[in-house]
Amino acid sequence: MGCDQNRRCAALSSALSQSLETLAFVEIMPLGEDAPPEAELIELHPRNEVFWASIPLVRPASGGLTVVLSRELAAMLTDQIYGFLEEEPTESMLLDAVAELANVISGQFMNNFLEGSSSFELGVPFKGTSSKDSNVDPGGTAIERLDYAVEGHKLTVLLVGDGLEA
Amino acid sequence: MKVLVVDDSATMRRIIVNNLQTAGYEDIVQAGNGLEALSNMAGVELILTDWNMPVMDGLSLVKEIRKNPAFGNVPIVMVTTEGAQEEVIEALKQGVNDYIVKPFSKQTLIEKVEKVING
Repeated sequence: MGCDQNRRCAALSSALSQSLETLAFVEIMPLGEDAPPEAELIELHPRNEVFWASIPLVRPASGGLTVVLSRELAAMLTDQIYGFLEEEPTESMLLDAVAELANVISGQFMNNFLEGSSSFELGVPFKGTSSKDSNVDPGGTAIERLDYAVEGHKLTVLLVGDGLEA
Repeated sequence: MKVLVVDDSATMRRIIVNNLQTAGYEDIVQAGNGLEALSNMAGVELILTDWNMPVMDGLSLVKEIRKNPAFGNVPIVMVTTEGAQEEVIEALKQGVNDYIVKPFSKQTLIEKVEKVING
């Protein structure tokens, strides 16, 4: 089933593109079953080290949203978000930028999913780095996993939770 | 004009500061939470604050500022992820002058800032 047939997936996909385009001025391309034909031409960079950030969803649903991306993509997005850095970004700056990106995506997702009809509460982000994707724990079994190509790098969003029925 | 930007995310503070600076606002101070903001209020003429922060959140900060006759009329813009109507109403009820939902464009931010300054 494509993302357009699933309200939850559509809300998440829209939140991701809105957030990245507005904050970092980059366009994203879905991978997987929603990928356009041109996605086959993309050669993705390998993810040797990943940066991740999770935002707890506290109310009205409980769960979490996790963003996973490579160090290289984190650095590129941080540079874009900060407005071109003169200095090499520190790991702390990269993690803070990834966490804020996850925070904005989470808020936009909840606004989209709830259609602004009720309030919601997000928790304080937690974040880290890992040597590989499989070491990142989104806090449960993902009910949505979306992969996107961003400037030749893969960005993954994992959604875990109850009360988020599609 | 002296502007106070309050957010626990250094990244979001940087985004807001960059946008304000390119629009000509040069005198900007920053704080990582509401409590830190209260100790940086001297001479502040405009406040942009996040809602969800550790130590003291944005709504508590607004209540403290509005209680203080010295700062009671300083315009406040809430910059937050929470965009539900009831949240906006609550913020306005507590004394927020305007509200911006993240993610926002530079144009939206500057328009809101100028609206509350001139309002």
